[in-house]
Amino acid sequence: MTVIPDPKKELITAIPRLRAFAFSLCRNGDRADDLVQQTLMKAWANMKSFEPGSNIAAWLYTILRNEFYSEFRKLRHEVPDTDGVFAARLTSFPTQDSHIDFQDFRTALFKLADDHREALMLIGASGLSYEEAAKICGCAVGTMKSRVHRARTKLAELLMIGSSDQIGPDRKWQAAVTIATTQRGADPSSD
Amino acid sequence: MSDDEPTRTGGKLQPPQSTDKELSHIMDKPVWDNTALDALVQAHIGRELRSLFDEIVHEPVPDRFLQLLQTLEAKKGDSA
Repeated sequence: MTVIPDPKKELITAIPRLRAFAFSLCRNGDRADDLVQQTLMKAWANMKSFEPGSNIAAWLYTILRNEFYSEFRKLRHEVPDTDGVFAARLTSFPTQDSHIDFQDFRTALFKLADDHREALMLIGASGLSYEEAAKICGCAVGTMKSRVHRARTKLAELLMIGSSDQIGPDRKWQAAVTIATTQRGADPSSD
Repeated sequence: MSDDEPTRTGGKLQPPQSTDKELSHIMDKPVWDNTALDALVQAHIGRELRSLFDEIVHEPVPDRFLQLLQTLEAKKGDSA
């Protein structure tokens, strides 16, 4: 059985991505780092079960995710799945109580259910393939694809339905203009 | 605006006029049934997700992790 030449170095290299994934799960920086700490310890203890040549980041994501669902998730208040709340979108959507608020991306992201949020982070943010993400989450590729699709839809709704206030329907067109011009003029290097 | 749009609270939406051709094709459809707007929102979501990820990935590795791994590696040597 071959061993990884420098496990410590491999783990250090993976830490930034682990922290990002952990943050999306825990929604809190300190707890995310605690989760990463646990993950590193588990990974170190289980190095023998890692197949050299396979994707170590994916292996670590899997450990981290399992640790989150088995230990860390219990420690916080369960957030209810918001499925039912947004099912009525078509009838209630553009009322005078809603406005589009694109500044609160993280707030909206953190309102998603755990499996939606992790799917978006693995596919949309980390750039993993559907196959890799499905393996990490222990589900079928088709399941992962539909999860990502539902997550994106839900997130779009959350972004467009902000806290209620007196702003009227005109604001939504304003927001559409803002997004359109932001995208057109978007240049990552110019911020 | 077409007359067969369902009535909403506050009456029909009257989007501001736009001479910008790119925006007018977004504005001529209601927000709740608008593939062009959806595409923009999804592109926005993609950018925001990557930006959140990149922000954290570019942070320096906290000392606690370097210390942890050093300790673990040292222990491994001890128990050989």
